[in-house]
Amino acid sequence: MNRKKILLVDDSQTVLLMEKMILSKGPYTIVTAIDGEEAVRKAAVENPDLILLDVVMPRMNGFDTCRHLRQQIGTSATPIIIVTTRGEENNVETGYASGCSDYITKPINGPELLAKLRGFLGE
Amino acid sequence: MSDNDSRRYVGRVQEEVHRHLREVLDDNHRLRLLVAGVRTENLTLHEQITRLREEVEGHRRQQLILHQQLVEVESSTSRFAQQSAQVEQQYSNLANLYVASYQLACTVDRDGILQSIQEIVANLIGSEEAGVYEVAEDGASLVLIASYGIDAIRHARVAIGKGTIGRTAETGELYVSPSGTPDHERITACIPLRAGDEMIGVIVVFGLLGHKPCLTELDRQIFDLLAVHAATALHCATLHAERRGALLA
Repeated sequence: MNRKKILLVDDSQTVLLMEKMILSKGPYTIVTAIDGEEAVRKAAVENPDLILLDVVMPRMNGFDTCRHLRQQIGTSATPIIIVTTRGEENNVETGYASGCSDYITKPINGPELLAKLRGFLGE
Repeated sequence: MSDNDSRRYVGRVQEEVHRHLREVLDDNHRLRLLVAGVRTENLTLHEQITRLREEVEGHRRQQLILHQQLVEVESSTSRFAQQSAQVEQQYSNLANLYVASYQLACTVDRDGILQSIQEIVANLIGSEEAGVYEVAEDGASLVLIASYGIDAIRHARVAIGKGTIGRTAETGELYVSPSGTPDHERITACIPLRAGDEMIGVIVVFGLLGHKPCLTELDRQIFDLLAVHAATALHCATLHAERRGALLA
């Protein structure tokens, strides 16, 4: 079975562990990054099938990271799901304007995350 | 006409009548055979119709059984889908508890523990304002040692026994606002931190994230876990820091 590769980007180890726990049930290969800059670098090398991207991070926030990823050839069309504590309309709009495909809010709900992932990965 | 001519004529007529009669008899025989054949065929067709009707009836019964089976399969599929969704939700809830427990147990660094507590409250509970209080050396008040989203100076110190936070430290009982949302003191929950018999502090959850309407059953389970594991972790980290300080001195 073809394992899809997912890049998890979050500066919180708690969130990364939570996401890994939820996704560990599925046929996914997990790659992690702890800030936007590392995410852009790793995305270029790893070519993930989907990126789960936090918004509030040191060095480069999620929106800027999303814009950088959209400019890279390898990730210009990769599904990017913004993971944010901020569900307000403005942030969602900013997320979409920066090129994200969808968003989910923290606290992460496992079934909701898996449903969105499966939708984007055509499972 | 002479007699001879008359006899010959009668003879021809008789022959003609006999020939015609034979032909009629032959036709009659053929028709009888044809009728017999048609009757036989009719009988065969009737048997076939009866058999086909029985087959149609059999197919109808089978169709009914298959339809019932389909309904049962659809019902089972729906039930399995619901069970699968429940299992996924339970797994997600367990993952939350595991992550909280793991993060509190993976370090003995005091700052690391405080960071983990705040991350758990922010990311697993979904709070945008929280603080961690520790019992001060005088034993009569609580001191804010970590926080986010609140005015740290205004919330710097609370007398034990005073207000919801102080009462939680005094009684050692978990406080959750009845509505599961911030109460008149803007407090959603106070989690007592008790290491053994010793009260060491309180975690206070003030406001929840805008898109989180109220606390859930899972949040209460995380509070129970924090009350035990966060307290122990913080207590051990404090002892570790003191021992390290003493060794360095």
